[in-house]
Amino acid sequence: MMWSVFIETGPASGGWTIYPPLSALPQAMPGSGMGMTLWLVSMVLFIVSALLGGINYIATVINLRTKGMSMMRLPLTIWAFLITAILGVLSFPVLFAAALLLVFDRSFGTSFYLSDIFIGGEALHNSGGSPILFQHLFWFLGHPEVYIVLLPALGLASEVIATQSRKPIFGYKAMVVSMLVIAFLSFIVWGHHMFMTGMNPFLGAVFTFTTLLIAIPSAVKVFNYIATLWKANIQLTPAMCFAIGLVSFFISGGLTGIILGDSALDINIHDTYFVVAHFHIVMGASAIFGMFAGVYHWFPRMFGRMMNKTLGYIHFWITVIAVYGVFFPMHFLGLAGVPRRYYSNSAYESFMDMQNINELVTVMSMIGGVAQLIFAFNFFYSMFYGKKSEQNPWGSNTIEWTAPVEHLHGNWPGEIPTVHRWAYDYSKPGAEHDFIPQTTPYSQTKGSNLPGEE
Amino acid sequence: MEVNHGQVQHAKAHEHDHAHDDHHHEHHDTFWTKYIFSQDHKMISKQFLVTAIVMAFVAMGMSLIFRLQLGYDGQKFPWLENIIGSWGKDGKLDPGFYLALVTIHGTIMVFFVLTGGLSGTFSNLLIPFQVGARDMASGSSTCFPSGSSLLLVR
Ligand SMILES: [Cu+2]
Repeated sequence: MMWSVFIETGPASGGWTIYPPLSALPQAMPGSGMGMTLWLVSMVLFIVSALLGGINYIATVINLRTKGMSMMRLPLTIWAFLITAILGVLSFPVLFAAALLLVFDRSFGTSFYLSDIFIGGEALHNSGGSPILFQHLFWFLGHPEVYIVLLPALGLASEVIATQSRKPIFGYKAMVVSMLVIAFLSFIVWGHHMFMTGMNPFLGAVFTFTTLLIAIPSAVKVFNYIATLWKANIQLTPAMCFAIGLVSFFISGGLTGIILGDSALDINIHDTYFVVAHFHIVMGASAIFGMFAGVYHWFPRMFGRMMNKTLGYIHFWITVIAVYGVFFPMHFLGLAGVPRRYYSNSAYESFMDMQNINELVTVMSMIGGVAQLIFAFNFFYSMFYGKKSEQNPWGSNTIEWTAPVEHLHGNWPGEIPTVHRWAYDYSKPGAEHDFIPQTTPYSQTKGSNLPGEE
Repeated sequence: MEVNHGQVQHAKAHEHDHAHDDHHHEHHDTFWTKYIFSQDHKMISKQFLVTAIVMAFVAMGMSLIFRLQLGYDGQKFPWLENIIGSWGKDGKLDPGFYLALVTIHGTIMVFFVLTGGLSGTFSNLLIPFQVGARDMASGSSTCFPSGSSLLLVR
């Protein structure tokens, strides 16, 4: 796909959702020729690799758990990765089918997505297809994809928040159940991307209902995060800052999701900057912040060295201000009716007085971009010259910190540790330290055992 | 409390360990087996992370270019021509290329950074480490995703 930047007609330009007919007819626009072909080839490769990876993740979690690691003792990260992999394995084949049919339409003259098309006054031979079919197939992947992106980030944040709050995660079982419910619901809400396709208003109401149901497990997760943070002994490491940032974005992006999920409201702001603001906050920024939290937290585990804390704080504060600076004003652009994907915002008289908001957004995005250079410097510098890490720098319970700092094939020299408890025994009353690793048997912690633990 | 199913698996994993240990005392990693066609989950996760960071910078750079057009419509930036060549003739972003930038920014960010990069990095790093396994269930099939995503993303 990146090669397509260098070819004459340019890369695919039909939007990341590649709706036909723009994407199906090579003559529709310059990017729909070679650029679109390369896009499809790279996407097919990507889907194959995502499927193989997903199957591998599921097999590992189910088959290779160490002694004592029952499913309900898994850290929430692993639950999140497992559910993500299941979502991917179930939904990516649908995108694969959609892309395959698109290839047929483009190259072999079929009419899955095309019907009654006139170009330059001349009718094409295609008949009987429907571009709406592509939208159904695409969004059947497209909505689970949101959670494929988001759940791992939430999983990483759960781990970071519990560890750096020095408190057990609030509602472990509720977290697992809400992730499963989110995963299930994500397959029956795809229609909320298609309220404007002329669907039956009754169907719109059904999709509105299922979409708003997702707010319940999402809210459960948010309240659990807040309850974990409540009165905690918070260690404000850069990773923790980013994890809290994720929770903030998840709330503010989720609230606009309630508006967009409602068909009566969505019809008024469909395809405006309101939508752009919504998904950049809830999917883009949240997931990126989860990723940053993960990188700052597990960098010592990956590279055996620590990242610079001061640079981490600077990176966090500039980024969080820039993200809100970019995407918060976009809500107002959208409410005023500015459509997304337009090249020129000054082509219409009525949008002229919005130009200063657009300027603000651009300035903020530049500031945010520069801040990422701080991260890149910190990352690559620390990889080679960072302070050497200790075995367990964050006082964490999970067993990856019992493996030696230096990487070995097979991770642990000698035997794999046995697990005796869940991953969240932080600040347990009566315990010697404020954390009890998963490898400590109950027989060694007589003072802090709860009834039923021996 | 204890799940016996887990113990059975453990026994199996254990047999596997010895084979694994013996095997790896004998050979030394070359540059190619260590960094390029690695089957070690830690190295694969590092490959994913570095790829994701590079791709994220590419996609972010694209967004900055089209944000320039949206924020300063009608103004000219002669230096654009140095970065994107004839797509930025006379310092103005070509409208067709603007659409391409928006498209590719979205595709890279959603699929390659946030799907491939995020899951690829942390699933590979943390699943074996946190469930207590020597490596992923199938070494070669994790290698393929990282290899192919490197390929196609280039
Ligand atoms: Cu959706």
